[in-house]
Amino acid sequence: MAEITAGSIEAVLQRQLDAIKTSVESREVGTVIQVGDGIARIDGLKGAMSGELLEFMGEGGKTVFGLAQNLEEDEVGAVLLGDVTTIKENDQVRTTGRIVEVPCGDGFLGRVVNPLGQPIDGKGPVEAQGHRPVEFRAPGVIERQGVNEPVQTGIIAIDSMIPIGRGQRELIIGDRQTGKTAIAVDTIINSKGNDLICIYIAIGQKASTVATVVETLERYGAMDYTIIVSASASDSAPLQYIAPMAGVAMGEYFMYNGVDGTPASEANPGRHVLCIYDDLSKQAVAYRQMSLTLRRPPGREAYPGDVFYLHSRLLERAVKLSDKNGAGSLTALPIIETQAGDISAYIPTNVISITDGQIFLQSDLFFQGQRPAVNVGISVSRVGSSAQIKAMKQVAGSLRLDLAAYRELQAFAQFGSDLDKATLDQLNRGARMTELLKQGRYLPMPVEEQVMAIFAGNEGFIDDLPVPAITRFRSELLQYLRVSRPEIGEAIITDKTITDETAAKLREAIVAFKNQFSAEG
Amino acid sequence: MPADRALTRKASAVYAEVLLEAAHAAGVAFEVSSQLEQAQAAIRGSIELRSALLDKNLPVEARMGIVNELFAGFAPVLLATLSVMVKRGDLGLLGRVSEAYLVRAEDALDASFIDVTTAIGLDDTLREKIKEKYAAQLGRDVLLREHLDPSIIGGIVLSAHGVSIDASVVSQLENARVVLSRSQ
Repeated sequence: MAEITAGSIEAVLQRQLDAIKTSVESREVGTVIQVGDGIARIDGLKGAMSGELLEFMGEGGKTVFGLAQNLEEDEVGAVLLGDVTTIKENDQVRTTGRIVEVPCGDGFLGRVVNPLGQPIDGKGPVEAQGHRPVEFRAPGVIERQGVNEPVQTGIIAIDSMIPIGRGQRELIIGDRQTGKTAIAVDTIINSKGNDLICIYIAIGQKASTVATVVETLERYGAMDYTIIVSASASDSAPLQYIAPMAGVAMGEYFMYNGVDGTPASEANPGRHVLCIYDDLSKQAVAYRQMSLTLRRPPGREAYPGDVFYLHSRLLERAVKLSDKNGAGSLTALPIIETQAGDISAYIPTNVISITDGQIFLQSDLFFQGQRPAVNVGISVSRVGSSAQIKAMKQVAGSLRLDLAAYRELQAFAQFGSDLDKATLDQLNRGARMTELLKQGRYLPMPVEEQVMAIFAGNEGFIDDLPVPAITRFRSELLQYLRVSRPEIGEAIITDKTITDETAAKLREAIVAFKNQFSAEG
Repeated sequence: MPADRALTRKASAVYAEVLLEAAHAAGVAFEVSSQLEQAQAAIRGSIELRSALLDKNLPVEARMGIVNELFAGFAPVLLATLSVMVKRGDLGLLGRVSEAYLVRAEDALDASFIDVTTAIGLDDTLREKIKEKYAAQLGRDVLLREHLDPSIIGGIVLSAHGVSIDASVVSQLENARVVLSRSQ
């Protein structure tokens, strides 16, 4: 806040008093007929627009805002966004001519806010640089360009087999406790120094879970470039419903504006944003509650008919803008929680069909110790490979299919012991490559190290090692390369490819390391 | 459902037309419009009253007794209409009846009804000024439905057909509060 001095007080007062409008405008006014369950039915307001922000004049002149949802013949159904207890029957309601907007700007980085942009972290008010509507038309075909830059998650299994590009929509799907949020948090942590602003949107989660995420991000210094938008389980359904839209609106501010806050253009590039919606199943449940209390007809699983459109219009806002529009991007990582692995339920199938791929996490893999518990057989990234660096494509081009074939073969091999050598080799390689892709939490791996680790596996350097020693071999090898042969990693980063010369150096370094590596530990 | 909606609209129109005819004959067409809105607000504002009047398990006589007692000061034609609505279980239509009545009463009296809310009662000069101003704008006579509300502190709030012009002191103060709280 600017400091007011004795010399400037007159000018400041003058400016603020001039801003006060004394003119009187005519406004449309209605009356609350019924209120309850966070929903109000309003008599009048014949000119209200769908999604318009309504102003409720509550007890003691307290103003509560609401969203016009159902425009019926002689009444309007609205959802209330504030303190519903102050609203009662016969209270006045006014139209505003506006739709819901959220404040946004650089001041929000490092803060935890509610879906209305109000801080809830006790760190004082946030200075907004602008406001953006929560509902906004997604960019059209001409305004976009193809996804061509990677989002490095730092997770070897994902960056190698299911790569995510900037502007992509990649679904993270799985049962409860399979590590969905862990992937999101690791991606945020790995984005440090990668010119990526992260927005983590918690929908319908326990406040303690959100607090843990915040604490983790703070511990790893990731809050500096992160905004947390939280509509916890105790917040009303309308707040949980608008939370993803509010989060993406805050992200769009960075994408559509350059660092100086002016609209992005070729000369003033927009920024790159990553939005994580944790999770959209809970948003759908909140929307179902709202729709049922608004008396909209229930459809499959009692969800309203337009729940697909709710998610499709949200995820369509993920984009890689054309160079003319500043080349900013907004990547969406929606999370969906399945029940007992059922991906054929209504909301999972909807979101799978909207997104550009999915990372499927499985409970049984998780409990077998495969972490992240990615099922490579049904996980896919439809546009990500065009955003992978060439070096990664060189080493991991067929890794996903090889591992999927290994899993099938592994299931088949359980029925017999007479296997030919080729099959045994494939099983051995598969078991070791699977082990190589295991990774702990909060241990993101730079892309060049991922490339070198997979290279070692592909070249057969781990085939003769016992499986339990693989992860130790990988971490000690990478440590060795980092300290003794840093030029190899630098060459991969610079060339973005593995030249014959780099490959030869890498082979030689791995052999040298392996000679002094003891599998016994 | 469309069939229900059409029937509801028709029933509301019948109530409004009959009530207007009777009120017009009794010379209370204008007063009844205000009383209808008061009745609507009273029923809407109390869950107990609303549930009692719409409760089909309660004898009709008891429900009619509540209406007669509660709205004792109202025009007899309105009381009779409300009693019929209670008897037929149509009290849920009161909002639509009130709206339909207002439109028909304005046409019948060739005047526009404007609600005027002030903190203290209007004097004759101000009353005439408002009437003149809006009669010129609307091209027909204006009848004022006056309401007192000290909470607006001062100024005036005019409303008609769901559109409101709020020139009250409390709104101006609220406007100033919002501007000052947003400025840095």
